[in-house]
Amino acid sequence: MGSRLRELGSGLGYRAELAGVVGEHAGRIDWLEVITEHYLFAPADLREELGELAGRFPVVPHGVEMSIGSAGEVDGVYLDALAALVDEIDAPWFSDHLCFTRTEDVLLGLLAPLPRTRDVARELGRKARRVQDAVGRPFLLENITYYVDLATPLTEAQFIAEVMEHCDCHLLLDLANLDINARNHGFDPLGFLDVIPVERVAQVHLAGGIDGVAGEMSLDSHGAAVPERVWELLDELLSRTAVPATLIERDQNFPDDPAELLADLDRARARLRRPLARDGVADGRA
Amino acid sequence: MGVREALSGVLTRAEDLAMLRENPAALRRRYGLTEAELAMLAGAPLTGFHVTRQNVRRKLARKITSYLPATVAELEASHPALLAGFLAATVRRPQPGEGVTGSWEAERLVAWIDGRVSASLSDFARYELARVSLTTDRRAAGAARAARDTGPPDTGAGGAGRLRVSAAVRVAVFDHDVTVGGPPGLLPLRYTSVLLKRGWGTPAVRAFRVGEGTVSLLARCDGSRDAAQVVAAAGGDRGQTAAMLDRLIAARVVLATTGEEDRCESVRSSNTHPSRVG
Repeated sequence: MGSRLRELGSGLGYRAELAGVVGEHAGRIDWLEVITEHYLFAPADLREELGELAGRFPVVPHGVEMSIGSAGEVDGVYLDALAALVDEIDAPWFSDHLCFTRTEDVLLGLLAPLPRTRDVARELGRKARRVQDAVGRPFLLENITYYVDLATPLTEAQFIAEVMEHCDCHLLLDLANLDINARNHGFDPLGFLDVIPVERVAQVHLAGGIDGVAGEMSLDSHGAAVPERVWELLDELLSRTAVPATLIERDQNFPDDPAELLADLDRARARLRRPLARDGVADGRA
Repeated sequence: MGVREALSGVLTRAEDLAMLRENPAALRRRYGLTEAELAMLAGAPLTGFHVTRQNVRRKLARKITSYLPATVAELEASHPALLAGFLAATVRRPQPGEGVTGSWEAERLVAWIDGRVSASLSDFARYELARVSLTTDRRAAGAARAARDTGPPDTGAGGAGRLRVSAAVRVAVFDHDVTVGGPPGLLPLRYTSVLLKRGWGTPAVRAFRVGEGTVSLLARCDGSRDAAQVVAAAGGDRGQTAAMLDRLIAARVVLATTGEEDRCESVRSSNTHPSRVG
């Protein structure tokens, strides 16, 4: 298992629409996550802007197009560029998703679920190790929201645990995704936490989505404040393990008043700092 | 092939989704699935496929909107069925290497609407694509940085060095005046040459309407002639042509090939001739 990662605190997903909030309220934002592909092959002036951000905040690249779950190896050109980007901004780690986004012939452009078998998990673990070695920084793998629930031999939690068995990477646990998946597919999110190696969780994503009504599926939109259910999951997670970093994600319905986002950032930070205990054993955080 | 390929098919092709519902054995054959692999797909509730198929289209819409915001807005307002048709019919193809962040989908949309919408909107879409392509062009940005970092260029039509158009510049011609603003579908029918110039930072691209003489002059700045030869080749009033060339050099639209850009560019510029996009 990988060593414990640096504590970053409460961060915000950086989007162009949030540049003003980031500039004006830097003191309430501990770190930033950027979408890797926004900068990966970007022209130099955009990379310079990223460098300026990295001079003010720890910045973590979060990818959506590595497609580690596709057959074959991760694209070498992509990987080389990713390593250069991570090095350029001295990122403490980088992350992407446990999914596939393309096959040889089709680019889905979204995070698609994998066939959850032990063979696929073993292969993913091997590739994750290789990616981490190639980039030279800790690699975090994130659980996705999925709407197609393939009738696979392993549950999602079992699959993630199996992948982690075969690599020394960390987990980026998206609690909004966990909440949505649990409601859409009818499983217990606490049971999910029982199965995955929570001690490998190095970062948490927090976001609000769209609740399904009248039997419709709930959707992961990153378009609302973090709901109470997700905060409760964070409390539950933190009662089981210490987590170095949380991140508020917002991709649409950007609020005119940043108070909502800032309140969520403050709330997450307070949670991280609050000593929690389970079964009478303190988790060791100050 | 296997589950991932079959799932991708079901999410992007109506025919495959119908096959999963009505003739799973055919889907199994098409994708070479084992019985266990087919069971993974067949055992998944159909609602999830429908939601994800919508998300595939939504992601495509978001991608093209990020490249062509004004064109997509006009299509949404005036041609919603056409736009929906594009989203439904387009299966995105993986682009290797840097293509992962490329503009393939936007190029497809521009090609798709050609002949299906007014010539004005079609022209505008090409204009918007040309602007975004220059914005994301790393070589153009490098040329813009070189222009920012170096002092004023030597001018004088008698200067040394072969001339070529900067990598930060594109010239395009349209049948409509895409520079006037207003509704993209109602642009005035007026043959228009536009010089797009990549700057450093914001705004990334500025557009200038230019005359036929400038376009003709720029076409001769192809790296094979020095200033005197360009002026001679252009014909017409040599004094006026030399003065125009001076202005283009001063604005760093045209560079001497012994200049600063050559140190950061090894590939010959492909932008010395205007592209006809109207």
